[in-house]
Amino acid sequence: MSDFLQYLALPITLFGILAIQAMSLQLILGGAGLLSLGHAAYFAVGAYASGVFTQFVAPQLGIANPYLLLIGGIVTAMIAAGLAGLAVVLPCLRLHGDYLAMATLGFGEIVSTIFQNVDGLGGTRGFKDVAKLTSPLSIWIGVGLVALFLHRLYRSGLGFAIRATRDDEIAARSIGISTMAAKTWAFVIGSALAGLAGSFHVHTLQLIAPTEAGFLRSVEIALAVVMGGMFRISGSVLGAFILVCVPEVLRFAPEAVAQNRMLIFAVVVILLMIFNPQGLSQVLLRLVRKPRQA
Amino acid sequence: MIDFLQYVLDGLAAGGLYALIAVGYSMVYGVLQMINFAHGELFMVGAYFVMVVLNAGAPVWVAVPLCAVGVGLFAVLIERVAYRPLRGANRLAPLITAVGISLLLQYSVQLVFSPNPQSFPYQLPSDTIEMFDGQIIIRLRDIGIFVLTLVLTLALEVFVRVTKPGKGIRALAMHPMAARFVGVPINRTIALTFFIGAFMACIAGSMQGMAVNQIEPFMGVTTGLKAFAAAVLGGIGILPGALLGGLVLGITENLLVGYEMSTYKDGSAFLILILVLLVRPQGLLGTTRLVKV
Repeated sequence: MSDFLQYLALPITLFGILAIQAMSLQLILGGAGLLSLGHAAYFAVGAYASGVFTQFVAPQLGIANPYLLLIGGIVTAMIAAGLAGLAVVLPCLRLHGDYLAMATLGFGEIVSTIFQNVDGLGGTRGFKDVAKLTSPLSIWIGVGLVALFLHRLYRSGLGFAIRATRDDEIAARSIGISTMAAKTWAFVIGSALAGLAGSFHVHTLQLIAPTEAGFLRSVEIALAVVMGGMFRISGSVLGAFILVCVPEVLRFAPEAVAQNRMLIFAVVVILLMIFNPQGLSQVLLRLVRKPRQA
Repeated sequence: MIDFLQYVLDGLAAGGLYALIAVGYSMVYGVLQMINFAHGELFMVGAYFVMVVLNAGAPVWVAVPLCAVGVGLFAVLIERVAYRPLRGANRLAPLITAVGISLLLQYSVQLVFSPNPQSFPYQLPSDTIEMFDGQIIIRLRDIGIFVLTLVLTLALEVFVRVTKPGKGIRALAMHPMAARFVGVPINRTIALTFFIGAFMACIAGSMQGMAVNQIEPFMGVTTGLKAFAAAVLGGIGILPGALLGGLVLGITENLLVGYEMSTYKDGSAFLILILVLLVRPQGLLGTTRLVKV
């Protein structure tokens, strides 16, 4: 039993980290309606920044307490990732829809290339041997706080402005909402939260590789958001759950299935999207809520 | 200076391949406003398909066109099964499905042919010609690939300008509803677009196999992404734009390799993409559209 619990610790941790990533992207994709395909870049920037803080900066400042280290790392990561988000969004805001997607995708690949070339941070092999500072509990406290924060945000004035901008930019502007400010805030907050996930990642797995900033990781996060249902915070958590757990459960299936679990996973993704483009949380809601009487 | 010219010439073939793939991204985007992320995988599937047919004993001039048609039909099937049901849904749904399709193709090929690289049964001759007293060396196959790219893009441009189905594609890209009103068969035209894109991608895939002599299940990922960057760079939806974008990327990458900055090669495509988008959001050859309330 304890073996099994020990085994579960890693998937639960990864689930938590991906849930934070997905929620942070949900604010940008579902909340503000901005197509971002480079979200892993901010995650990686956060992870590297956090690692640099705990490995190089904190010893200089004489911080040794693991809680202080983690908090310092998280703050550094969120600031760095938020700034990276700001650097992308300011010039790119005048790009619409798909062009924004392309620019963000490009940014992710560039960040990945840059980290590959910084030899002081491990180069292509990645930034290794970072201190382990997290536990599944601290990560899940993080997940709860992010969910609560986003929930409150959507009910604030800024949250309404963000959603109004998504629904109809021209109408929103005509009633005096600064759509530029709304989009910028959504993007920067989303990036900073991705940085938080990065900090958790690097202090859990003790490693961050340049490939984590690339397109494939960004797609994985977007997959979680869209599969779960992009207009709900809970959808992102659900999507992260599917993404981590389906391949994990298939590991225990008969060998023929276990060896081809990526193949099966791909089929699951395609079928889910074709039959249910609204995302899974919509299906669950339909099951839970009783049909309305006409 | 002479080095520079050499690197530019070396980049022509790579650029041509990017251009051939970029055409598919560009056309599908023009018609459906959808980024078909599975397109890079058609390039890979095409290379494998040609390899199988060549191994079965077919001569090259039969295998390549035959497989190009086969991969084209395969793309039409993918569109019918996976993309058409999602045509009315939000923008992201088909995007995610496309990612699912590309995973499916990668892992299916991996299952059938093993994850290891396969050697390609046919190689293009590696004869070279020398110019300026041997200061510049040109591989004939590079010239061949470049000329083939030019011919195919030109033929395609003529096709969309002159023939009726081609005009249908352009009409659909201009104004879907008006195109429907004047009787353009929407579904057939979209299928044709996917067919042409996959046809080109398969030819690019087989050229890559014949030039590099090695193919592997994940060869479509980075190449596909860069070709996509090329399509946007030139102005997505515009065929000469895809050619221009592909050549710019191929040549830049070769210049970086030539001047010993090859570790920055993969990022360069996207840096150029972003810089161009900032100055000309519509791409090098694109035109802007007014947004009316």
